[in-house]
Amino acid sequence: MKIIGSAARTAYMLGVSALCLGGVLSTTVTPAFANEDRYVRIDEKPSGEIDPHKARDFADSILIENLYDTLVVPAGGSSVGPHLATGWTTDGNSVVFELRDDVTFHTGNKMTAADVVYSFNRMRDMGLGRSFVLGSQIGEAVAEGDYTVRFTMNEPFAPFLAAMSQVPIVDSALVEQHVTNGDFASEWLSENDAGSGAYQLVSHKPQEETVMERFDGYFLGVPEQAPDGMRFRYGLAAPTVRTLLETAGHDISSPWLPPEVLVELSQGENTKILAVPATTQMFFKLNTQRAPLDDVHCRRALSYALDYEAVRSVMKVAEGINAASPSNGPIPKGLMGNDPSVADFGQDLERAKEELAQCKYAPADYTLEVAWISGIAFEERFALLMQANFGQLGFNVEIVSTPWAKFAELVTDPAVNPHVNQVMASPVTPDTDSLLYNSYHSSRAGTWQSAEWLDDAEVDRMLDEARGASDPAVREQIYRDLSARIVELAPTIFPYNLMTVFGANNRISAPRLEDPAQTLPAISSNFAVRKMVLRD
Amino acid sequence: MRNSALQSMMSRIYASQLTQRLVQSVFVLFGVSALIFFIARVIPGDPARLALGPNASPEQVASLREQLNLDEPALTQYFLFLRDLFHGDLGISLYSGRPVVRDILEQLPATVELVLFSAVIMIVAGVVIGAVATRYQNRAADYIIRVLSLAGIVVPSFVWAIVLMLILAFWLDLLPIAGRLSQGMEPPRHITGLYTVDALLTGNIPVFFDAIYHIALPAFALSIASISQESRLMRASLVETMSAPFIETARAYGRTESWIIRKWAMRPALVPALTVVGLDIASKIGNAFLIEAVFAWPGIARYGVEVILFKDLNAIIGTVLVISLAFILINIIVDFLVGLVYPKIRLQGATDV
Repeated sequence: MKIIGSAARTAYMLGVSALCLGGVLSTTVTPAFANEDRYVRIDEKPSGEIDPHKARDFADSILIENLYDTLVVPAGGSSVGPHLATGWTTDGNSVVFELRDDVTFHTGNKMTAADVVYSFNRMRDMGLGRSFVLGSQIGEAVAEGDYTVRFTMNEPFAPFLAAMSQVPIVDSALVEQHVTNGDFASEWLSENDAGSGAYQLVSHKPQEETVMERFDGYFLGVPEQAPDGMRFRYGLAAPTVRTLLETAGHDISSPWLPPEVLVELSQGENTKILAVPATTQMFFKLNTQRAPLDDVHCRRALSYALDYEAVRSVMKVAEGINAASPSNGPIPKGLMGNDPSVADFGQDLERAKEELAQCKYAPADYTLEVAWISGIAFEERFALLMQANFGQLGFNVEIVSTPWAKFAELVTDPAVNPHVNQVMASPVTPDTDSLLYNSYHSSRAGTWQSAEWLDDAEVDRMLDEARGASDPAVREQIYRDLSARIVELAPTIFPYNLMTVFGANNRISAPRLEDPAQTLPAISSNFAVRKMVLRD
Repeated sequence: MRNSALQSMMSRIYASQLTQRLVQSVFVLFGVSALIFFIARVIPGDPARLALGPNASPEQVASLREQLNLDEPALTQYFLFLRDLFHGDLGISLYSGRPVVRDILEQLPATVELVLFSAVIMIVAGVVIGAVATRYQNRAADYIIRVLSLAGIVVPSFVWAIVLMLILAFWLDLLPIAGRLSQGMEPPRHITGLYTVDALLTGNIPVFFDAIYHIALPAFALSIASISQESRLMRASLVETMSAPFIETARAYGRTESWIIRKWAMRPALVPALTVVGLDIASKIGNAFLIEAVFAWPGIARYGVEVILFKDLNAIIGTVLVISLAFILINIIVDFLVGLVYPKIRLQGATDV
């Protein structure tokens, strides 16, 4: 009895302590929340990189979008518009940018041409992050006065302007102060900001949280109704995000929530879902160097055998909202060269059998390896569907689960590269080149993006020609022709264009994430916090 | 004089035992480092490619591989690693882009704090529940505890975490859902990295209570399986002790069961429980990752899982070494605690030396 008595006493003491604690908390915790009411809370997978020239992932892009500015910005479709630059002219093999003279960095330093040259050189010399967009065709950058910069081209490079939308401009005087042993101030800039963006850094813990606050000196101004700051959180679990969104403890989720959580959020009293049409597309990449798929007729047979509707139904989020829409071949909607008249093959087993009859291989002699990336549950369902569909043609199908790291390794050797790989890809810049060149030019074969190992002289010629052409109308036509050629060769099955879907609390309004007319192709550009509105 | 000579001899024996354990620990750590170093390299994928991302050029990947010495033979890589390790350098994390030592120092205190709170809950609740089950052996209370304990053990901790979150945070709105402190609340000045301790040391009472408020739920969720296990162990151990002849002597003196449990049976019964508690605490440092993921707790367990998925070789080795070190230290501490609680074992150990 005494033990029970002592347990009861302990429980009583704990209860009293909890009550006291509650009392203290009610006076200490609440004000902290109140101060933060006007901060937008967003989450993504860890970790966050804030060195603008090392930044690469989706999380990084959102951070950089708000901390830094670029000479030009995506302006819908494949076009770019002026931002730090007021305009540009082409002068022979050079592009000359005129800069704004009213831009100040967070330090108060004025942005000048020297900062642009420094930023370009830093990004290219470090060779990290998205520096791959700066092709060898781009020569040197030279400051001509305080507000003029000349870029000289080694050879014509039409995607140049789009590439410049990926070069954030840093406060060179500030960065230079922190360079030690030629390290580009890399360590310092991974923890501090040297930007001119609408928000400035308050604190940064790359696996926990990055906090920013409004920069009052922003050259375009930050609207009053925009959030006062942003809390960018890393690695929240799906149930946690769901609970936080319901209780207004969070504002916008990552795009990786499972469909069942999105369904719940779409029906929640305080929550909604934001569905953004994006230039992201799913590709079922067929290994064109491995029998039986080195025969175009076998590839076409698979393309006709797939049940596209069933694939897309897997991506249904809620009644009336499906994250997948039919694709128009290799060029996603919104990009230069997209041809709305190009439809997917559609399931047609009769035509599939006709194509198979022309294929030099007998399906029963081959086992097709269909890979899916471990951890991406819906890809497993696609693999099962392909197993059923391709099996109807008489192929044996083996489903292979590969972690991303293993896939990236397998794909380098066409002899062991699975027959079918599932890859979700989007262009890095608003230019079509950044998606197609890396996917289909024979010189790029053997990467995750070019798992097809396509080797076609006609495709190579068109890709090179599009890079060199300066007239947008000519480029548009080249890409349309290229699109038709790729569909004819069937190195890839194009099951759907992806709508990127986020969960959100009702208090946030993000026009670029809600209104398709305002949405930009690069998803991170839609996360400019200054364009959002927080309701009290 | 004879007593002090005996004490001096015992001290020498303890010192010798401690030295022996510490020397053994160095070898264990060395073995773990070699094992994990080579195992980490078997995980598929090129760490340089993963670090630079899918769009990096082959030249960029080759350059990073060279920087990381990945093209050297594995044995050479290991010796280079040991050389840096002796200088306190675990290299740069490809996952975070920062020194691994720094990442660990930043993440470890959060997990240590979580595990310590969880351990306190586990020990107090485990012992009390075990004692109650013994006191009411084969009666209703014992059966109820048995069923609840079974549920505690078989249901994974992350399920408990989600259930508790739904009940206590979502429906009842009593406790916060995520993080170590409320939004906008400044962490206390860094001394140990344990917010509750640092808040007390700096006299920052609001932060102290806020930290307690945030740690309560994850610590409890993390301790549920262990409470169940400890209470079962405690009960089994107590029941066995309660049937020993010396307990019969106490009963013959007319002592109550509760008095006997508290005064005579508890100490010897604690020995097996203590050993398991020690192992439990150490394993929580690595096993807390699901709880850390659910409650957005920025600890080293979650970091450890992320770096494995990223094949961040330096960070994997660093994390595993830290967890191994925790295992070793806690085991040494437990051994000495067992000696304190039950001197007979201490003396047996001493005479074995």
